[in-house]
Amino acid sequence: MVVVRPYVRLENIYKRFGDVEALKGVTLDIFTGQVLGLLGENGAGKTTLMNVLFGLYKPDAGLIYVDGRVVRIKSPAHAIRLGIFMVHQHFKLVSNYTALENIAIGMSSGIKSLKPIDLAELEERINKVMEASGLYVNLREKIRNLPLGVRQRVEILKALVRGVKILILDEPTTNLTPQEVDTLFNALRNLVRTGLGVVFITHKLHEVMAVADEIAVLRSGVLLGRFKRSEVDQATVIKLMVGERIDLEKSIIFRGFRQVSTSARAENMPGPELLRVENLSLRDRLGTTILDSISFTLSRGEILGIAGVSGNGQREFVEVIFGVRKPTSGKILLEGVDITNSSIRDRILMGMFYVPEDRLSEGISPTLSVMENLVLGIHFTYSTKKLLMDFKRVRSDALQLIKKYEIKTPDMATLASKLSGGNIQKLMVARAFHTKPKVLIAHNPTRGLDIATTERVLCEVLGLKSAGSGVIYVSEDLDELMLISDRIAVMYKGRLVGSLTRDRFDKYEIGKLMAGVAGG
Amino acid sequence: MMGTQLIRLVKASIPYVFSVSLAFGIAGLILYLGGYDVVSSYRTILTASFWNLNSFFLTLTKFSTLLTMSLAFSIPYISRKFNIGVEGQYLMGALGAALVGLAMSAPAGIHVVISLMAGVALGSLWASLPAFLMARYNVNEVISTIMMNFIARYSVIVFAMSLWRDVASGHPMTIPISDTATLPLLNPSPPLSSGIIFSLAIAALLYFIVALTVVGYELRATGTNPRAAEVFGVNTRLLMPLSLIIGGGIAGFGGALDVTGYYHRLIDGMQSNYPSLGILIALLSKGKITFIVPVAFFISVIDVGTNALQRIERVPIELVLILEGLLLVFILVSESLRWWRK
Repeated sequence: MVVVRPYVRLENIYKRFGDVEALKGVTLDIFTGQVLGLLGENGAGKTTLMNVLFGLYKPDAGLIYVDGRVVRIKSPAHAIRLGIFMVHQHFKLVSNYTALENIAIGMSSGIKSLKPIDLAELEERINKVMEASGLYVNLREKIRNLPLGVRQRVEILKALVRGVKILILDEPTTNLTPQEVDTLFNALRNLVRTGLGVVFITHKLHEVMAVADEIAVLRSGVLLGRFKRSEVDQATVIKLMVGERIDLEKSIIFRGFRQVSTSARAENMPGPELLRVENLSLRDRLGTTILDSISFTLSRGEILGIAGVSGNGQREFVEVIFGVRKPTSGKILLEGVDITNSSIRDRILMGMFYVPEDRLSEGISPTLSVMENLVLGIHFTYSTKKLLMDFKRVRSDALQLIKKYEIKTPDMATLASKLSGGNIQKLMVARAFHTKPKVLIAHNPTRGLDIATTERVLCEVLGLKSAGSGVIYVSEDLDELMLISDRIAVMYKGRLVGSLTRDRFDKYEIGKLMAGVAGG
Repeated sequence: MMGTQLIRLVKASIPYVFSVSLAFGIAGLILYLGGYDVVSSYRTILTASFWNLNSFFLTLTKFSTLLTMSLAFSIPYISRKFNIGVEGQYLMGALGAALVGLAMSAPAGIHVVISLMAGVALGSLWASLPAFLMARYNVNEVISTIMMNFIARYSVIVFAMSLWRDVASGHPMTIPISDTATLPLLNPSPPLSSGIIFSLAIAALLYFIVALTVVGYELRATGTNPRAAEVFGVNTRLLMPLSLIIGGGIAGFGGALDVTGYYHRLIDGMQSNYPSLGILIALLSKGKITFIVPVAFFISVIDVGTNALQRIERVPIELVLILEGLLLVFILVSESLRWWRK
């Protein structure tokens, strides 16, 4: 057997951010001609490791070999010259340039960049690449007019046209419809056959099982194993990925859709109506329609999942329901009471609560303590005669919540800005469940959480359900939605299209709605 | 718990100590090059405030003014609004107190109370126009409060040159207010006004409100992240302008304290460079009242000390001002050092 030399070798890479050791001596070979699935839960260090390879972070220690030689990768531009390209979760495209122009950016550097680029010649080359890969894009369209799935293709084409050897994709299926995921996976298979090496970063086991040739598992900055996909069973990989913290038998996530469907939840069918939304519309200042006559009802004990590619009005939708924005027209009734024009505080008093999507800009008050943050929104219920804050009670409740939700913080007087992203998310979720809401509006509540904590959040959501509350659960993660929702509706261009009950859940059906193919 | 807090405090103060030493180092170098006695100059700067009761009371008087001014800046600052209008609000407060002190007659205790109240009223009134413009039309409070400063400055001149003008003086100022409108003295000679008690009391009251009340909590939440506060039901659209008006009231109170307690009349330019020093103190303390009190005192000591330098060591006033400026710049730099350490 011929020993194939890896194109890239990361050797003993260490990286530390402040007190957090993100990478603790990771050694990883990356070969051309195969898809390497880099699997691990959020915070395991997958993206950090690849950012090191892409020249975004300097490793504290360790060597990088490219094509057999030690290199110090100084910048992404340098990495690209070495044949390494990374597509991040947030695409780095110029939105008012066309796809073609975006691909052309950075093709030449230094004095040569003064020469105009031969766009016709470039277009021809891109066309060939599109044919070979099966990733088609309308090159003359401006990026801002393209859906997220297509923008991702632009990023990938950018890499392919530059003739890279290794393509790194960071959680590439976020915000893709199941159909688009299939297209992407097919394209990756095609590309690998032509000799490209792909690193596929994900926290979803079934994705690596579907597309990877080899699987490398990372946990807390340590590489725990590398397997051929054909030779490994799922249970082994899961154990490696999450450690012993989760009881796989009882886990909602690993028990899978069918079992959750029949056991934990079925005994509690949705009850009487809790929230009714009628013809809700929202237009922005320029008169553009953001939300288009949305109507639905939410019952007691019901979890309504809202699927959809992000940017289709989900954010505005939850904000209107919670009262952060006023709708242009329409009505919101909570237990028969018209709350369309009620303040947020009134809604909270009536039993609504909210987990916003953007944890940094909306979720926390950075220079308030963890303790003070845990009561934001219900702080006024901690007052004596509406005047003084009862910090004694705040403290004791905060202590409980920190323990229960395993929020990692030195103490509760620590400023919230010192917490890591995952812990901030835990804080937001703890705060919301602490209010025991009648109606919980949660927007991507598990984003960035490790599996154990995601598990806990899903459990709490199901707990609210059995306590008779209603939950509006907006998520980009279709798997998660299908796991816990009683009903899934899809948000597409500001409209709520389709509404499938649990017995009719079908990934591809929902995918069609997400892409706007099937009419609601 | 107390132990870790103490360690935190010590850690936080290291850059300050470092930069203050550096500032003194450079100031010393300049003095040395100018041929002055460096060691005795240092001693003058740091100890002049404590040489005799007179200079100590002078320090306390400055401290009182600086304290109210930095509090006037810090309350809006806590909700993330920049009250650059401290100067105008202080002057209008002074004008209000002077007006009541000159035009009204009332029994001793009542008269001074009305004077002070007039100061608070005019100060907050002066801040309410920017507050209204901000709330209604989104006008930047920095710009509007600066404009209000100009109006206040010239209003003081107009007022001081009209009905109650002190014709004996070459500088725009009014005649003294009635005795009934003056604050009692804590010490007759050298004189120390009881204004210092009031400004310390205001500091204590504001600390209590900010740290322990629901409104204080909401102010802090608004300041650290207005969007998050708004999303979770805090009425930021009311709190932000309100904090500006409260700030105006405090500055006005400061002006009224100085008129009733120290100058006993309205004088053009009585605000001196205190408004900017007050803002600087509040910024250094990040709006934290527990820091503002000692920092304001320290700055007063430096101010009195550098002034003494001119008299004792015969350092020219220009050099004195440069030294004072240097010290302040370095203290400010220490602030960014603290950020950089994170």
